[in-house]
Amino acid sequence: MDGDFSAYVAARRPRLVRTAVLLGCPESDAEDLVQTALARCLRAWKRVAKADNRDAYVNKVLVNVLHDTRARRWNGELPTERLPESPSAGTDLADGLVVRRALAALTHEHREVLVLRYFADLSEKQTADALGVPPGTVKSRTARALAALSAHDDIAELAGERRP
Amino acid sequence: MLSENEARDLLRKAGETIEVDPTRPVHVEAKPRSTWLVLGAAASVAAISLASWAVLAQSDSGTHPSDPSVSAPTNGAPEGTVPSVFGYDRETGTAFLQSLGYQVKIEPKPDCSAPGRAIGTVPSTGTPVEPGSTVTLLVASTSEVLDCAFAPQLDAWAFVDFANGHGPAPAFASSVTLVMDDSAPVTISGAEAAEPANWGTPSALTELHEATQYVVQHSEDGKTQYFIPALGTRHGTPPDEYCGVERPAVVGKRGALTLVVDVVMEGVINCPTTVALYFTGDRIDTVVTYTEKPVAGVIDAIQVPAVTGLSLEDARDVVTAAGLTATEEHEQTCSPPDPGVVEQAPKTGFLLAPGQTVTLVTEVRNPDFDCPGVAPH
Repeated sequence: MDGDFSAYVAARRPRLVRTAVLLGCPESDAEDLVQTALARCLRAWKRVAKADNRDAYVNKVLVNVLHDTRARRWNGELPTERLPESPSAGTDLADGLVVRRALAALTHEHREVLVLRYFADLSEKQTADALGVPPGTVKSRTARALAALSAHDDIAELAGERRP
Repeated sequence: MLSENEARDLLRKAGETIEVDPTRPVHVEAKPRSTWLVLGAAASVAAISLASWAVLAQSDSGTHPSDPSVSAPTNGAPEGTVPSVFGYDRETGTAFLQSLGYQVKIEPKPDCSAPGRAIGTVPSTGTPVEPGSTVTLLVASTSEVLDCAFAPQLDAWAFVDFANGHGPAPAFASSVTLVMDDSAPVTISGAEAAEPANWGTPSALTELHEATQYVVQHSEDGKTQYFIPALGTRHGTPPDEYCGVERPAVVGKRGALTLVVDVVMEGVINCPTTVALYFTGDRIDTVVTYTEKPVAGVIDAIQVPAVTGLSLEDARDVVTAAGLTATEEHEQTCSPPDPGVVEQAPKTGFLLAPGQTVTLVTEVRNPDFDCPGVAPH
């Protein structure tokens, strides 16, 4: 079991750290957050290993740890994410930073559903399980979140540039 | 409207901006078993050494708003209310509250803060209380239940305590170099550094002391909350430039323990008081202070007003009057629709440039919407 867990962590840790940051965790805290989530998963690894989708389980734990961390701060919020300075416009890196700024402008609910569905690649049902809401809520919330992201001026400009 | 594939592509790009060191040793311990599970190349627990720093975005932020719903930081909560206990521990916090005439009860609370630090009060900061009332001081305690993977911030708190006159001087090297923003470095002896009066004014100590006492009032929908600071720490080399101040040449690319004392409010971006401590062994040899300052860039940023709960028409008017653009979304619901705006994005307090968009969400009941036994949300 230890070898299996080790292999899972080695393969998935970078993506989990990126998921944590996109969910709103500051980059400097993301490694710690993922470490905490993985420690919890290790205790339940037998169950996790048997799950239909281990990634879904681990992402659910990650979301729970993020929520717990928010609750432990003095005022319930993690420090505002500091984004790097923008590189030259038009590059993928620049586009990526635009997306991160747009994500930061969304509500937590919208941000979480977009990141879990379209970055962590969870299904609607797996996202519902991770967030503790009904699948119907994920469906409607995703639609609203996409609309909110689309309406962001910088995203609209990005999308416009890429469409024929 | 973005398609799902477009969303995936954008989020993929966002993910690529996040650096992750694939060689960083990971230590995952399954509690409560005492077995150590070590992964990666390291054979022992490595101190957390963060390779990345993030520099504040400059392009779309503003100064502290003068909007009545969020106050500029004040030195403490209003008179006659429970004060902030940020910066205190069990002993000093008790003495502080007693000096204000309160009876004090101690309640340990499992928390990932350094054990013994004051983490709050009951009633909370800003609550009116009569003299002689009992105030419960919540004190961090360790717990088997919590997974605290965060390194204890003992060194950081020790320096904050010294700055606030609550604790002894930390260990200083035989000479200590002090830098304030981009001023020329000043060097004093370690013995001189142990006496706060020798640091001059302003100094890292006076700046931290001032930031410790900040309380920000936030009012929304008739409710007022008081926000108090949080202590954040960063490890690694500070960036070449932080909040408009270049990293001083005297420290080169050395790693530092950096303290940030900030009143954290979602959507409010600022340049808080930040102090970088450089060590030789366990002794501080250089202290670099980045004083609190308004964020450069857009100085006419607009704070998103609170419109949740208003009618759609009123909400639109409020958003437009603030200089922003209102757009509408409709959420399908399986219950009778809530009248008015049920959600807004961005949330109250977030800073936008003039003309940017606030989304107003209302509920609609569509008889064709699929609600097969799904509980309404």
